[in-house]
Amino acid sequence: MHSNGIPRLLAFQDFHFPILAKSCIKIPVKEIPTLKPVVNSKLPHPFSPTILKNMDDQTLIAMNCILKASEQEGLEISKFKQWGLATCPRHPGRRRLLTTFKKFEREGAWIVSPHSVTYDALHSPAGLISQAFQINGPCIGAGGLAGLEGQAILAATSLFHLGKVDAVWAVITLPEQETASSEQPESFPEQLFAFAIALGKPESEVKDGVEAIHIKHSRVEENQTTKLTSQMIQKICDSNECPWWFHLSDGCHAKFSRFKKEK
Amino acid sequence: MDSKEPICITGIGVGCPLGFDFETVSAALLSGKSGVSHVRHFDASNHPSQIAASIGPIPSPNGISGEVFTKLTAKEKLYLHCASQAVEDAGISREFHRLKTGFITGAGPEWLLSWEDDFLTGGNNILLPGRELRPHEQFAKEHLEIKGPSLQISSACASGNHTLLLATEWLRNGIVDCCIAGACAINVTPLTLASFGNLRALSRRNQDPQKASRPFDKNRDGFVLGEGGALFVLETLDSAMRRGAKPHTFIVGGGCTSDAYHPVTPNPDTSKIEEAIHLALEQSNLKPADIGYINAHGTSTPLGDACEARAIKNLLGESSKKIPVSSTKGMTGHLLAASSAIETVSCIVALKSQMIPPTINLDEPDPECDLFHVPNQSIRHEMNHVLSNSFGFGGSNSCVVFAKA
Repeated sequence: MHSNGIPRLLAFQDFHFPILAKSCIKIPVKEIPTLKPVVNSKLPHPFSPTILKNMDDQTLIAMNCILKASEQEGLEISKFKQWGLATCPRHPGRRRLLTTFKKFEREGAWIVSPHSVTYDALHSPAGLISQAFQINGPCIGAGGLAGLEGQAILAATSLFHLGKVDAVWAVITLPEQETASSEQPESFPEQLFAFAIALGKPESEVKDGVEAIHIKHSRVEENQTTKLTSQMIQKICDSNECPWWFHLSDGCHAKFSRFKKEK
Repeated sequence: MDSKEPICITGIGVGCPLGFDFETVSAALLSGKSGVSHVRHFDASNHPSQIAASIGPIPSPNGISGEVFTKLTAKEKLYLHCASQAVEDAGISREFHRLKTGFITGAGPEWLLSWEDDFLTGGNNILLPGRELRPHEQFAKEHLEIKGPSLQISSACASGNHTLLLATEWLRNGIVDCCIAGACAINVTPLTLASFGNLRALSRRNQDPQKASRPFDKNRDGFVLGEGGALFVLETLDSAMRRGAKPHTFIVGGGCTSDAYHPVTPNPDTSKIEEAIHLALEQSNLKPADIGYINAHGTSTPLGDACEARAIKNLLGESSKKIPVSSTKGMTGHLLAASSAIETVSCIVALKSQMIPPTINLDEPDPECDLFHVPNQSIRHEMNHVLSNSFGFGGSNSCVVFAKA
């Protein structure tokens, strides 16, 4: 046993993390400005107007998704102090960076916004969400690029031993319907997608029927696997069941299901 | 696998302004050499801060053609150099085909770096969201034929320590047979230098670059951007012994917390930093007095250094007066996501040589930072355990305890 009471995995043993809450949302980008004050008013620790103004849209929708998942399952949003968090945004800050690049080219270094450092890096959503919900356990960004979304779940399930962690949030956000092309170069996403899932400590004995995420640290048959896309996540949220293994990283897969004891 | 299974580092790969191998970097750290100079690889004359610890040309490892190497980005080259060197040092490359090897790296805004590089050379990738970006460490992983799970994480400047602790957990849980962990960062770019400069985080001592980064000094005015990195091969002691590999050090404990206070400013209430150090000591089964050296985060910012000093004093009490503390960022610059990776090298140097690398430019210690400093010259000091502190933007705190092998 680990010093914090969590049973150790055995080599390549499958493990189950009970799902405490989950939710996914899609929001049109044009609705973000009106959504900002609404989300902020619901946070246990609301942001100052400056931070709220500069925050990337993906961070805002991530927080909204955590709020929705918590509300659905009756989790108290002021009680995440001993939680951990792993967020996977998909290259946030593209619009701000484009403006910054153009200004830099035109006007030089002194005009460059310092906000990219604060709001658009891989760690930024995790840092801001930890502040909003007063999460004092380990809070990290993971993945950050298209196709690496599974790393949020892999990272979250690895955080239990890094501090005093009762449960973890894994949050994935990504832009949808990005239509930019060389002909229409300045298009930006019309819609943002977010998925938030709260996981309890890995348990060696999960009760029958408990909704859990099953992590398998070994290979599975290729015809049983699928990519962790927003469409697939939406199906999981709608049906609470999924027969597919999602690829998290090389030799590491996850499945969402109600736990059934092996007979 | 047992939770007390000792985890060791058997391979080190390093590249930074002080050198491209462990011996050279070790000698530079112990002699107090500064890697800081004026930025020369682009025109920084209009930047608020015009100085940095830049890395220079990265050597090509054996077994890769010059033509392929030239086409890689600087960060891909650095990952390839560090990973190849670490694997060679561990003597493990011939065993990769039968091993499940993890690859956990610390990252920053990878997309920013790729887009900036492209934009400044006339490209428009930033406008094309369909164009997928590749993780910078991917080429090294493929070239070395490493098979196993990867994780690219970021807790800003605390990332390196997080990668080591995650790798430790993967090993103890039997998820992987061995793991490469650490971080590489190419930070000295026109946009990053301007962005941090305008955030007023960087020193503006442009006339005197080598004196600019001065952790814990009364006249410090910000950090100096650095770049480089280090990767490590981690495995269980049992695995190392079976292979006949000699550990460089043991990772005996760690602790991670979040301030949940502000995106940039450190929390004046240092209780979460103290908790991270406490967790690291607790997991190591050590008392404060058992720590022989603290490699501080010590960035040379007015607020950050004072907070760290206060946290050390609050938590370690009387013991803090007897434990030597130094920050090596005066020499290496601040490598951001890779800072705690390069500082792991400093900790290994200290444990192996029983010498403590100094805090250079510490001419007049700030009374608010009254610790047992090692100013300007390395000192001989017997030690069995060292503590490495790293704290990042966004409020992440990560602390690791290393033991003498």
